[in-house]
Amino acid sequence: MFINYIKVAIRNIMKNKVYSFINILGLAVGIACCIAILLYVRDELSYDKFNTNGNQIYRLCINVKVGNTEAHSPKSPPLMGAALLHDIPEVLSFTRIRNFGYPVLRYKDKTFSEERFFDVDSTFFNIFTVKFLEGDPKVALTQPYNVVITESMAKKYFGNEDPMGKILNADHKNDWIVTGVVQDVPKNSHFHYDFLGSLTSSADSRSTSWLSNNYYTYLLIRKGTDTEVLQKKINSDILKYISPQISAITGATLNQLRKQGDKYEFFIQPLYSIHLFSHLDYEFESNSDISYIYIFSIIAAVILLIACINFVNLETARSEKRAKEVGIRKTLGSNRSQIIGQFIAEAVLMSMLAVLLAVVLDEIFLPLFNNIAGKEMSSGIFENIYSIPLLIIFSIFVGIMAGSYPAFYLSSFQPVKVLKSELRRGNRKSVLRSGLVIFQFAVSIALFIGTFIINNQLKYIQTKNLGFNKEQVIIISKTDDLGSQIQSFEKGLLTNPDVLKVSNSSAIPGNQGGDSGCSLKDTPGNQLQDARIMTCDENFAGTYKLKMKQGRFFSDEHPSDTAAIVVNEALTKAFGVKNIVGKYLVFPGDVQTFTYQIIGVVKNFNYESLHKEIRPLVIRLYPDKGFGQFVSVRIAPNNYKNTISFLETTWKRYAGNEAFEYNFLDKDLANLYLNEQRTSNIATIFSILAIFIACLGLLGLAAFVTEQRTKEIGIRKSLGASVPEIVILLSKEFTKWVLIANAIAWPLAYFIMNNWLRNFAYRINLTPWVFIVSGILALLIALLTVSIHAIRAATANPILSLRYE
Amino acid sequence: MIKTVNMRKIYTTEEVETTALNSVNIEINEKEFVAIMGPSGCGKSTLLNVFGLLDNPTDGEFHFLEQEVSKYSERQRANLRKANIGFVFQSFNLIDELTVYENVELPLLYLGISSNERNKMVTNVLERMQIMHRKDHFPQQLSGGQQQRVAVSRAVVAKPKLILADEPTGNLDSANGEEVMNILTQLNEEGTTIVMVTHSPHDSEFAHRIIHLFDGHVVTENYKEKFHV
Repeated sequence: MFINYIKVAIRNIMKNKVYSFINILGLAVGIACCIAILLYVRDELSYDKFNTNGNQIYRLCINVKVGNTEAHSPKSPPLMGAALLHDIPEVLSFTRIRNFGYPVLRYKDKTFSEERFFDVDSTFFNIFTVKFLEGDPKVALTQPYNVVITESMAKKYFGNEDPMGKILNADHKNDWIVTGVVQDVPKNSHFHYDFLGSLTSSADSRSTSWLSNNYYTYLLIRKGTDTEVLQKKINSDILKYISPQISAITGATLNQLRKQGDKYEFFIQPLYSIHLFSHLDYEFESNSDISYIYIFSIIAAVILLIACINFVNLETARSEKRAKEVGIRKTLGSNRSQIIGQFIAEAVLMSMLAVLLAVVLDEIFLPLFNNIAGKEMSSGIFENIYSIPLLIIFSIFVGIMAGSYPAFYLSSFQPVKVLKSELRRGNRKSVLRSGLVIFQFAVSIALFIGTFIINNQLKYIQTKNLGFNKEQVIIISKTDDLGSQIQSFEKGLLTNPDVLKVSNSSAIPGNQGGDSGCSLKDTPGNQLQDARIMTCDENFAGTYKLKMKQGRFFSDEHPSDTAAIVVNEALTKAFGVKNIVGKYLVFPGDVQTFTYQIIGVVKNFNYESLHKEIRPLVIRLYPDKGFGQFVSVRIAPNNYKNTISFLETTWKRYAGNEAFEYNFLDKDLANLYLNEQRTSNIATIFSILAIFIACLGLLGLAAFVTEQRTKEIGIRKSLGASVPEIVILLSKEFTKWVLIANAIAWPLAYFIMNNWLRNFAYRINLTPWVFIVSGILALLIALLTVSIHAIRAATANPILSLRYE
Repeated sequence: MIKTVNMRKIYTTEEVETTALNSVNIEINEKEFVAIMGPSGCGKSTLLNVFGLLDNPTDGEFHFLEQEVSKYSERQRANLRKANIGFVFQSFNLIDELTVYENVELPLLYLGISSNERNKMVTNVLERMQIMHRKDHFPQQLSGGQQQRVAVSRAVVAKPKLILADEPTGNLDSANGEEVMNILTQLNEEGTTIVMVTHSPHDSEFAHRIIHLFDGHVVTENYKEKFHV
């Protein structure tokens, strides 16, 4: 019997090639999207899971609010780990990670600037799972200036030579000896390194300060520990270390501060939740967000649903073609459940074909998707023994989902009626079918609107007036490596007329340095205010075209400016002082307190991502011969290729073999929104695919409806109806559906997108235009699809259609 | 084999109530060949549908094989039907996606007969109907006469006690029509009860008894001389 079903199914598929193609292609595209998104989700959920002790690893973070100073950071004091290991039995081990900047490494003639060089405790390999290709994890990092490198770094520096025991020189200062080679860090890690130096090399690692939070500390915790309790224990235990140091600086005990509403708390984060849930300052890398997982999962489900709806609609619309068969089978003694079984089997067969096609589509398009999503996923169909059974289960699931309603519907036919042809003209109008099409379009339109809004917001961010001019600025990085030659280098650059301005600084927009607390001298209460600090030369304001609100920027003409400071409007506002110029800013330090006179207020500019409001900023001037890691070069708009090669030759003249690293500032800034950009790209693709699938369904449905109305069209035409009138007649119903879909989609999209925009401190307002344009676009696409059939039917000779009757 | 007592069938749509059968009392014995005649809309087909267990009467009694079946559920009727009744339709009603062989095999599949046995039975009947050489063709590739022979094959393959034929020659030319009638006669002679709806006086000549229906009533019943109950 089953073979009979399959036979009939295959013959039906072959017989109605267009319908079958539309049905299977629609399902396949839907399933392909679904699989792609599932792969994406699987990849996102797999972060850090390669660590065998992963569920016992926690990261120590801090939540501080003292006065106006706030910090939410994954870094903690240097002694923290050791103290916890000593005091709290649940802590089995710990390791610290610290980044001391970007060293320039040299081996023989090879020189590279390295961004992923971290110093770690030798216990690093006890906590994290790292595969050693050479060397012994137990001793690799126990001595000062030992370094463990990754496989690709070994290739990069040593080629085919054995890296073990070789010396890498850093910044002409320290010689690091290679004591291990490890596998590259998997892509799905929240933290990637190329070099792990021994932390014991640094004296700072033995600092006894409990207030400097500079070390990423990871704890290995005993299995089954109640983390809530542990967190409480940690916070009460470290009081004895921290309290005295806090009192020494603020003059108040921690408990007094807490009573004022201040906070000084540590918390622990499970390793597995870092990638999707942690958005602290100073993350190693920009993490993803669980909300993307939800959004994409919902999109996957919705696309699959749209594809299944096509199936339901086309199958029920075509039902009359199968009605006779149902009638005969019932007459011959088949009962209803057998018919249901037959049609579900048929749907499962179709869905299996669709899954097969989807797998092929995924294999073809996965590299493209990887590129867009910034991933390195492989479908792994043939690597994972579960994937084939899973795909089969999945196709059965899809088949049942898509085939159930048609099966129940078809099996309900009465043989008496269908065999007497009473059902012939069928139910062209079906509430369910219009409801389903409306749903498909509502979802597609909502996706359209969402995509438009995301794109608009990104465009807004990229074109928003940031308070400085980001165009035609090239950033040369790691210029601190030039040392005191930096001024000569800058002078060399300015000899080219296409180089308009040059400035050296410790930070650039989008890449900010540190924070510091400061207070305004001679103000009541000595209120401490947290501010970002950057140091630069006199040309910074000119290079970035910053505007002054009050006073002036640093200048050559005032040699005393090294004792001066420029602040931004936000800082003025934070202190609530109108005329701040001339006043003194005090920076309390461990050893010494610094005081600067404010000489100017710069107008607010967005030196951080637009996710954040502009925060208080203080700008200091380099003392004589001081230098920072960035040189910003404003160049003339034309001829920039020549200018860049000029920059490079000039760089080589001063830096010799050093790597010349440059970037366009606007591109760097765009990277701040990489997550949004990727989301936007993915959303764009999937909303196009969603509407594509919906249109495929519409195409099939339109073909069906037109066919149903062939006789009506013939009669109308023979009575004198014109072609446009017929096309309008045929399109009216679909137009109505799309209009209703708009009414559903608009509020839905408004609600969701308004929520999404709350992530931005600077955001667009939702205008009706986006909604109207999306609606009209969907309507046009739908009409275009429908008219393919409508025009053909309307222009056909009425005699033919009447004779056909 | 069939007995109805004051059987009525009323169709109700939203606006109108149509009485298709009214107080029908008919008895048909085993091995009879009965023709039902009457003008369009007199209730012939409705009667055949009730006889075929495709439809339940609205009230009255309907006995089939000594069972009162007028209140049977769809599933009960299906089970009774597939074992005992074969159908022949005017429009053949073959499944287009199945070959001749598969069409004839279908009733046996629903009876759960083993594959070997099926093969034997289908081959047998196809040979007998002289259509074996066409067994792998699809219905659309056959002439009307051939299609009806396939339909008859399908109706008899499970050896039903009753064959219901609804204008079996209606779509055929006279030569092919004659052939189908001869087959039916032969089946009847071998012991199968046949009830046939027809417009054709010629075809009705093959029957032992002619029942005339008019507006849902039995108006006359004519027995042929050669057969008396």
